[in-house]
Amino acid sequence: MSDFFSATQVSAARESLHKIRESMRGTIKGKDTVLDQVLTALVAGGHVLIEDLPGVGKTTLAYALARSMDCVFSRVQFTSDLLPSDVTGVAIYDETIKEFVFKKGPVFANIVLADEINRATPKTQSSLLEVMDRGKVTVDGQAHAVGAPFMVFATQNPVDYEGTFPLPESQMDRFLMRLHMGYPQAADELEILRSTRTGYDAIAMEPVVTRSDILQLQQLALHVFIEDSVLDYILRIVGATRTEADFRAGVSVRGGLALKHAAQARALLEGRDFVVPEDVATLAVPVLAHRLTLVRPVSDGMEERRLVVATLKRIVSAVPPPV
Amino acid sequence: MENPRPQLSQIELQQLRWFLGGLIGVVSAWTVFYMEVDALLALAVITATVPFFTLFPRFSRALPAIFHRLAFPLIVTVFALDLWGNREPLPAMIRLDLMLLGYRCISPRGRREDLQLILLALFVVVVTGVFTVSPAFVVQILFFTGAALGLLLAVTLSDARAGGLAGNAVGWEHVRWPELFRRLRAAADLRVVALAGALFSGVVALSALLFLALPRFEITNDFFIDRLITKSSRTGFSESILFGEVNKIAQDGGMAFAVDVSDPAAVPSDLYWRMLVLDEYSGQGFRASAGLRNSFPPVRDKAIVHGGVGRAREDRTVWTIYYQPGVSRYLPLMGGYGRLYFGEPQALAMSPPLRIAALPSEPAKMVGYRVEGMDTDGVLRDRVFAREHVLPAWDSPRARIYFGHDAPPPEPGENAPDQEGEKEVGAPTFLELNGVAPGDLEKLRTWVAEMGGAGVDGPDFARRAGAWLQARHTYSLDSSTPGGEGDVIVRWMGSREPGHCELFAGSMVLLARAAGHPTRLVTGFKGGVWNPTSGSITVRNSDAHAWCEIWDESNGSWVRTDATPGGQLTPAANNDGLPAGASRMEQDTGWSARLDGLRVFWYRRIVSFDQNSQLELMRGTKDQLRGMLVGIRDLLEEQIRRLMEWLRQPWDLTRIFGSLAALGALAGTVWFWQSSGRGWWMAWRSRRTASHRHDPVRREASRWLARLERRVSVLGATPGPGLSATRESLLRLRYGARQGWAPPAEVFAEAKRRLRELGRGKRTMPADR
Repeated sequence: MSDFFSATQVSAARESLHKIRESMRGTIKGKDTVLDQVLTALVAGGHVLIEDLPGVGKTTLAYALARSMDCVFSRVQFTSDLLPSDVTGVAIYDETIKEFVFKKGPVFANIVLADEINRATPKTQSSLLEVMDRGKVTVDGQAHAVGAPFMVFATQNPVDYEGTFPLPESQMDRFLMRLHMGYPQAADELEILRSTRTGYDAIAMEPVVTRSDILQLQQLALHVFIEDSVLDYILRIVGATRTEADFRAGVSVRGGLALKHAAQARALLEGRDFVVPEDVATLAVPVLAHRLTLVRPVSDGMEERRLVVATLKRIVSAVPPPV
Repeated sequence: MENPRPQLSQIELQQLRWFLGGLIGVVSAWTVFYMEVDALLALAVITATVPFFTLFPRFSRALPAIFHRLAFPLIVTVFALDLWGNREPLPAMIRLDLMLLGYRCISPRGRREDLQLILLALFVVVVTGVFTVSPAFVVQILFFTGAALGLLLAVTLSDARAGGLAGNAVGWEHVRWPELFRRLRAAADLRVVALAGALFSGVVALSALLFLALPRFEITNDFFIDRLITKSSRTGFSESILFGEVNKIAQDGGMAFAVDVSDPAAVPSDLYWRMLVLDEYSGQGFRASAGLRNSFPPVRDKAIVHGGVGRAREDRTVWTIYYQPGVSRYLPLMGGYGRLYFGEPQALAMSPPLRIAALPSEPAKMVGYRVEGMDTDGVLRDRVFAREHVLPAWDSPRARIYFGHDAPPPEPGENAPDQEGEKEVGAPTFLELNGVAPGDLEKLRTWVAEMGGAGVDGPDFARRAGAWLQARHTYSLDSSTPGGEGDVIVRWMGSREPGHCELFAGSMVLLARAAGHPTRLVTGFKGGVWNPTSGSITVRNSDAHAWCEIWDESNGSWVRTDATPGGQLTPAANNDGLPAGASRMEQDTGWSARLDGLRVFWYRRIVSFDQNSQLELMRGTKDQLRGMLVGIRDLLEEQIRRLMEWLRQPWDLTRIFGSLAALGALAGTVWFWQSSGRGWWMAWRSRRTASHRHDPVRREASRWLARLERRVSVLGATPGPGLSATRESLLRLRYGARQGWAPPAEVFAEAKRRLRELGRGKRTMPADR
């Protein structure tokens, strides 16, 4: 199943992740659950889709993560006239050396914030999604690797759908998780109000881990032990979504694998070298919900998401965990 | 509980209901094949349509509405016409049930219709069971019960899924059967299925035990339905036999009856089962003359026990005969008998002079009866015939002699006054040759002279005539008689054609009568095979046979003579009648014999399981149990006695230290096992177990985790670091890689300690010690 690794490695990993969490907590107030989910996605090597209203801290979240890890951060504002080359980069002719050189786009960073991804045309969206999948950009037959680690934070506004190009299911499947920031608690918001910061550029943070530490964590997560009955539990949850009459189609195999990797990452976050059923149950909704659609579509997007999440929660609670 | 099973969707449940309904319908309809009910058309329609509609339910939806509107009125009209035309209510009801069943199976069904289908099928199955009382009924009712339970479960599940709202899921008619069965297999938890199977078997076993243990009630066969279905004779042993009929019976290999013998060593070397005695020769065959029929008294009132006429009352051998339906109303017997018992009160007609017993009508189901004191030697004494060569009518004063076994033979003139006004029943027919032309009669006399049969006694004549016949003819089932004029048997005797038993027996009768010896034809069965599976004799229809009984003037008795090659010319010739034992019989060990054995077991232990059998079984069980208990008690007493003796011996230092050492070793072993041994053993087994699911360490850790969490939850305890660490260790044993395990024994011991501390009320656990 997986190689066994020492308790020292586990505690070191936990310590690293704890440092990042504590570092981000200084900036992102009262969102421990979201922080844990982001860190889980980071360790699992996945990308996250954040669906929330503007101004709740999505950009800050991505920026804080990048700064905590000494990573390159870039932001792309997706609009309808954005071209794929604006995201990935373009080959231009250099008069001085008399040949084409590749000018890297904003995607060549470690943490990329794709703001309002659904405002771009499908072509542009797919150019980003290709990078997310393969971790490299191919221009004129030449592959250019993006940063490592590489993580995309894509955002969508769940309310304003005017002039948008909703991501198709196949592309939604490429995101490990869909997160919601939500409004902060009053006390946390008061603290935010007290701060003098005007934008995320003004955030002053020192990196607490290095990029290589993150890559090591990602490698470690792949070897977290997962027992057969827990794998079986994942299968049963996935299978139940496929037989549920309210869903048009169940979770794909990629979805099941995503849940497994996320559970392994969460186990590491919790300081364990093995997965427990609770890891799976906790992550089932954020990892699987965005991959499911209802048989009878609802015109209101928020309502549809609410119904999907409610049905998924019902399924997860109905599937008994292994004991 | 771990439950890796997906759930069937509403559509799949609906498809399963449809399938089970069709299956129940077809199988229950087929049970009608066991009965003699003319329902071939309905069965053919059901057999053709129901499987088709079951496999392709979309065609059910395609049936036009007019079909459903007209179906019920049409069925009722057909039923009314059937009842009016045939005047037999039960067969008409069965046909009605089949029509309704067929309609229910092919029309779309909801919950109510599914329940109707179960009831309709139940009616057919139960009626079949009541009438046939066959072992197949067990299979039918078990299959039906299982399928009906499955259908009811599917109905309940789909109702629960639909929130109690009736109505079928949309699109369920498009079935992919392999996929459905694959899903069904995936959805079925084998453990639950096994548990349900075990419960079902337990209920069946309990029912069987109750059946064996409950007091027997004498339920008579007077249910009105018993007379509603008439069953035509399958083999045709009746009072008139034409040449070739017995031969035709012998073509059927089915079981005619099975016989249990209390003492297998008492089985004679040759078994001749007499059923009918025929006297009147018609030229085409033999039949019972008016005089013979008058010797039968009217059917006696129903009784469990019927006394008979037999010489062997001192013989304690008990013959239990399981007589199959459709053979004849005449019961197979080897001769006279002392007593004849039925399982339930049974009317019986019996002719003492002929030693023949008959039921009022041919039974439609198996009849079991027990015979005690049965003559098996093939010699039947007849005092009245010996004195007067007259067959008395059943109500004549002379006939009463037959009813008193111990009555002394009447002195000459004793019965003279009684004979006044006695009803004449016609001249004795045992000598008549009315059907034989004078020319043929002359031939018969010539042959009698040729074989030297004039002036000899009956048995001697039988031997001479038999030898003469066997010298001229061989045996063959496929025989023919030469053409020409005159009597058919005389023509055959004059030829060299092979012949079957009826020709040999008929020839013997004609020759003997021509020689002046009273002779009669007997039909029944000869032989049988020993079935080691059931420990019983099986007699098949292929054993059907015809032979003769010739009068022996010197002994005043009828003597069996079988002129057919392979038969015994006279009992005395081969020392017949002496027990040869079942071990010398031909053994039947094939698969059909095993099935027959099963059938005999069914008859013996279920159908004919009367109070005596019950008492016998209970007594046997009680004796066995008592023997076991006595054995255990004796063993214990012996061990205690030895221990006491050992304790009473003088105690020196060696014994004291030796005993203490043994006790210490025992305690040490227990302690070691509890503290480490069990954990090591578990770890060793764990290493040898490939499957995580069956890993004993993981399962044990799972149990401890559940206990801990339950205790914490009940007490509302706040897990301290110590408890958390223990939980973490258990979690690692349960879900972690084996390489990272702490020694399982230590973890479990720690968990036990934590639990004990929690039990003592230490709600907050201290840190690890």
